This record gives sequence, C-alpha cells and structure tokens, in this order.
Amino acid sequence: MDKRRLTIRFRHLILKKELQKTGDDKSWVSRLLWDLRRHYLNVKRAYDRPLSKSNF
Amino acid sequence: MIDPYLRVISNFNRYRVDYIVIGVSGINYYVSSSAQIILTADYDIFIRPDVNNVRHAIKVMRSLDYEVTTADGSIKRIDISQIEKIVREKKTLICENPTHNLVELCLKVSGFSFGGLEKNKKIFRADRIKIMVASLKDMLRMKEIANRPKDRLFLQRYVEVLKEKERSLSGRERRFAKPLYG
Repeated sequence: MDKRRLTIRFRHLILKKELQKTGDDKSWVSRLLWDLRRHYLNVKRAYDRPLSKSNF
Repeated sequence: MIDPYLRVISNFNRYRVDYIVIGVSGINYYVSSSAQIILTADYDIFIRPDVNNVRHAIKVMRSLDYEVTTADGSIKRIDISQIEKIVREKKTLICENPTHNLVELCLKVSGFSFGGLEKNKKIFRADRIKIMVASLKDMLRMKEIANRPKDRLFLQRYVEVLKEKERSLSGRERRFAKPLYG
C-alpha cells in the first residue's frame, strides 16, 4: 500500500471512531464522503507539489 | 455544520427539484457503518429530464456557487433554448464548487427511466432533511447494465461488503435478517 493510500486509510479509521451510527439519521454518510474527498484533495495537492529546497 | 452535498439536497427539496440520488453515493446510504462506505469522487443525482426541472436545478446549483458545465462547455446564463437542447440530448451536467466538490446531475441512466426509479425510491433522513435515494436493487441493476470496467470492479468489491455484513451477524440475526436488497 503506498503512502497516499495509507494516509487515507488512517484518516478513515479516525473517522470511523468519530462517526458512530446515530439511529436512522444518515447525515454522517455525506459528511464522511465530503471529509474523505477534502482529505484526498489535500494529500493529492501535497504530493503533486514540485519538490524544492524550501520543502525540506 | 451542513456538508455541501446535503446543502444541495436541502435546496433541491426547498425549490421542488425532482431528483433521486443514484450511483455509489446512493448505495452508501444503505451501509450500516462507516467502514462499509465506498469512496467516490462525485455525488450523482438523477434529475427529472424536463426543461423546467432542469432549469430549477441549474439555478439552485449556481446559487450555491457551483460552476455548471456540460461536454459543450460552461453554462454562464440560464437560456431556455440551451436547456431544451440539454434535455433533448440528455446531457450530464457537471457541477463543481470552488472547493472542488463535484456533483453530477444526470438526465439519463442505464436501463431505467426517472419514473421507473421514482416508483421504488427510498427516503432517508439526515438532519431532518429528506433524501430521495433509488432502491439498492435498482442501483445494483444499473451497474450491471452499464457494465463498464469500473462497474464490474465495484460489484466485485460490493459482494465483499455484503459478505462482511453477513459474517458480522450472529446466527439468530442471520436467520431473521431482512435481505440487504430485494
């Protein structure tokens, strides 16, 4: 599993702890999708950024 | 705080846009825990393909700061002849907001009409907002009909989710459980 997938998986596990099933309320579904999407974009942006001396 | 997908749904309800949530985003409403959620890049919504409904949907999306585009380019203003063409050709509207949330508004889906899906739709609730979602059986059938490589991959993965769900039930629960779809 590459680093990016591992980070997303890790984030997913944290969210799993945070978001418990709350009866019939399904608001957690789209909130989780939104959060994972935001996290994916952040990780992607970080990996796509060209490396320069200032990054170290 | 309300998430952007739920905000779209809430506004569709408010302005009486006829819609049904479909695709992986719709299937995710049927899971029972966050571990079974399947990640998807966009939120797919099937809207009734008539001019007025599509016009209202575009209006809502633009008011929520989404840029609405089709394969022909961006929709800068709401022009009836352009919307008639979109409806005639049943084009998909791709909506993206400044934070790159993607919502796809489909005017056609594989194997079903809007009325056909609407008949079996299920209503979920989120923060007191009603969400119209296609039935799980219809959505899985849609994936089978579309039969793209990504659909085949999804169905393979989903079989694992169903098996996992069944394994997590005790013997008694398994005997009395309703089928997950049907």
